[in-house]
Amino acid sequence: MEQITIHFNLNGKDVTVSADPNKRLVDFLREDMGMTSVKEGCGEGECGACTIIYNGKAVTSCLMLAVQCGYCTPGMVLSAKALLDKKPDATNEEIKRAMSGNLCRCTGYAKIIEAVETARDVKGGGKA
Amino acid sequence: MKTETTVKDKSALDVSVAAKEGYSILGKSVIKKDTMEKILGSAKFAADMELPNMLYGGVFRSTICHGVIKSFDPSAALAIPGVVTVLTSKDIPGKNRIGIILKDEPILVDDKIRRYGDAIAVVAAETPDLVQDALDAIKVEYEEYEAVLSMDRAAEEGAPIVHGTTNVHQKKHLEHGNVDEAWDKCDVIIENDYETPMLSHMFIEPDAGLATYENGIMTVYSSTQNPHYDRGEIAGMLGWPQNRVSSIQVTTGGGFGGKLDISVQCHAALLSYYTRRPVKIVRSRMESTMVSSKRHPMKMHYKTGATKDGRVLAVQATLLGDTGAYASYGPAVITRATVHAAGPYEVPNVRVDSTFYYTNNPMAGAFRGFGVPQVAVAHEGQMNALAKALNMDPIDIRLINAHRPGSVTITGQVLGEDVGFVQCLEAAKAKAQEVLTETAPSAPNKRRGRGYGCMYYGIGNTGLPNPAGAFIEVLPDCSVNLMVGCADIGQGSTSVMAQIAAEELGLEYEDIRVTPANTQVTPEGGATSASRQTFISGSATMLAARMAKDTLADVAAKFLNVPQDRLVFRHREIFSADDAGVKMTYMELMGEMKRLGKLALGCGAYNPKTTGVDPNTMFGIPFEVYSYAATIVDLEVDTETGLVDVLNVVSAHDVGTAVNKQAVEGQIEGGVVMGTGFALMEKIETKNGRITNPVFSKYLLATAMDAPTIYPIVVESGTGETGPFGAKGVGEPALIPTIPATADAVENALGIRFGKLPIQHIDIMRELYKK
Repeated sequence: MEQITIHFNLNGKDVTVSADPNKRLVDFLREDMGMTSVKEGCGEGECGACTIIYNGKAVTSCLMLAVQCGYCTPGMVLSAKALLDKKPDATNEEIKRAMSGNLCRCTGYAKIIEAVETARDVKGGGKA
Repeated sequence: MKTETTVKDKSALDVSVAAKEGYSILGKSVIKKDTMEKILGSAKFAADMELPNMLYGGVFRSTICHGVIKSFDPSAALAIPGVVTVLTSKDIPGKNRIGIILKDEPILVDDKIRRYGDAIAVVAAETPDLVQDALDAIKVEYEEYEAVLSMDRAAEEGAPIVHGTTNVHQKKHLEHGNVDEAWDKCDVIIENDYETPMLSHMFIEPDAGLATYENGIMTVYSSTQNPHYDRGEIAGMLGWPQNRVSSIQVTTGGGFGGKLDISVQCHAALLSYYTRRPVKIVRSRMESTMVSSKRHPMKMHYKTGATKDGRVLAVQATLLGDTGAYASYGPAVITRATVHAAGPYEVPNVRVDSTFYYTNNPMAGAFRGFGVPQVAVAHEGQMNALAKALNMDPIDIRLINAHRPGSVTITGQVLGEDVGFVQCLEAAKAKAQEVLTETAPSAPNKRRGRGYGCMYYGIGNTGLPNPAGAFIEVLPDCSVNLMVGCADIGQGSTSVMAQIAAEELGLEYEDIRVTPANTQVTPEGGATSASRQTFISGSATMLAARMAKDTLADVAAKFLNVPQDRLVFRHREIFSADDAGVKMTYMELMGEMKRLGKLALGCGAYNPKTTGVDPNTMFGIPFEVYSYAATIVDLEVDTETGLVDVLNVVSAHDVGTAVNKQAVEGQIEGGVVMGTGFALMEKIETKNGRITNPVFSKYLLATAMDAPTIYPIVVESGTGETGPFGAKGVGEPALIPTIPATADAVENALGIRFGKLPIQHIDIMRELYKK
């Protein structure tokens, strides 16, 4: 298989690697980069378990009570971060909408939404 | 006839002094032990694991649902460089039949194909792509038989037979009081049909596992709810003693009953046995949904009679279920559905006739509630219909009939003190009065409705022994190793066990390290199912901690010169209940233990105090304790689109004692959203036995946008006489009452009876057009 060379920034580090251009990003990150926190739940872009974003670090402490099985959690964390980076004062409705691309079968979303609200409030208060 | 439910051996589960004086660890919403790893993404699920020299495995599956294999040719697959082996049923060294209750499922097809997706061969190759290439290259020819695709066809004379000599999988009959004589005494009789769909668990993590064969030991890491059962099936397949198999549950991304049956464990182990290399199998979403068990679709006919003041005198029910190609948990589902058929009410005259069929449809098995969600749709539909017919408040009519302490169930069981159903009803009603103040629809094209649903749920397996054990050691520095068999699939049992051990030992939650669900070191834990682990593994953990504490208390009593039964163990201290000044620290106690050459070890085992049920009447004590719940749903239906917006859900649950209140609330919230999905969205569709919507784009789950505002209410009826500190269970109860309550709310909003679930927007539009 022909390889291509790509340059990018992964979790804050500049990386140059050769990669199989036919590989899905989820497989590239899991297999080539060892990033197994990127989860595959459906393979068709419906469940959001494989959510990724490119830079920065995620807000995590607010999620302590929201975790059950944990398979959707890394994807949820990044969707929340992506939203709050873009819209630090997101309303509850905007949070629900932003999180609706990530499926969770355990929690009923209640504590996940609360966690994002907490993250928003903490960040807004300059304590993050 | 009445049977007694009194706990005979109270001493075994008596309340400790510390508990009588208020709990120090129990009831606290501690942070679950695996939380940080899960948030950071460092928790290793089965698909994340890798071992040196590892191969990838895959399964070649049938594309017909009934027939035999005429020819099978793997030569083109084996010719591909990097494809290591292709194995069939002939390669299985031991038994080729598995099944949690009846061994009727082949690991690899030998006699005939019974469902779409039956496993015919397994493949191992150097990469996942090569596995797929090999599966594509295998050639097979079938002789296809007529398939049995419905319960009606299964029951017909002359229909093709799926297993053995009849398509009747199981029949159950429950007889309580005299139904035939009761109808004359009823002022109102309600008769209705109900139907519930086949459903998919849709845990977000697809099934996965990794097997490695080294030094004569087969070690299988997998995403599972049932590691000890898995061990037995793997050993049986290999023809080995069970102690040569280590079955280790790794971080598991949900299960809901769908990871109780064998998934990849036997296939991966067989490939590793022949290749002598580690083999990982990861199912795609589609494969997972196609072949993992499903919820039994059920058809129910109910006749319910009551007096004009709302007292239910008689219930007669006929339950039909399709268990599909293999039994899986079918026998458990039919039994549990039958004994729960009349709901959480004291009904003096009940008859239930249940029949489950084998068909060539997907295998149905355990799914959160084992048939109780299905019968709850019917018994609550009947209760709501009765309330309307009698013009009574839906809560009031339930209060008249509700189980209370000392009530007699339809299996003749006299209930104990820990029955909190009335408190659930009253708490739900009060909360609804407080928070559901708005009753008007938000727009002219919308209709608003409120619905009611209740349930009770027996904790543990139905009338069958289902013990669990625990081992514990308090180390010299007061840290603790607890080895307990129960699989934590996300519900938080590992942390619950740590809380129970800390409470009993008088240490802190942080002091307890739990090693769960690893057959190499943990005793039998049974399945993480039937909402049983807090009650059963929790009791075993408490008893193990108590045994270790007995040794500690003996030493402390002599050291402090205080009688053993007056010692309190609490927050890393041991003191006299009569004089808190007479005390020693745990570190001092462990020093004294060391000086005397003593070890603080404990083992515990607990099996619920039940009887079998009479095969003719179902009389007996099928469960030691029951959880209860009452739920009220507030929603809006858009009459232009048929879309339902569930706005608010109040759900009150009697859990005995909440070990971790926040975790209980999390279970309730998750159950509520799954319940609204059951009522409004979810349905597995099949065509010729093949699932046509095995992916999330076709099988819709509720998202954050669909989630209502949820008001979980925790009711604690625990007396401490049963279970660990009075705890029962909530995993399945969390789901059940929301389903009938949501259906009732839609029907009330529109004034249309549906009876058949799910009530999708298209069903609503069809009915509205009819009007």
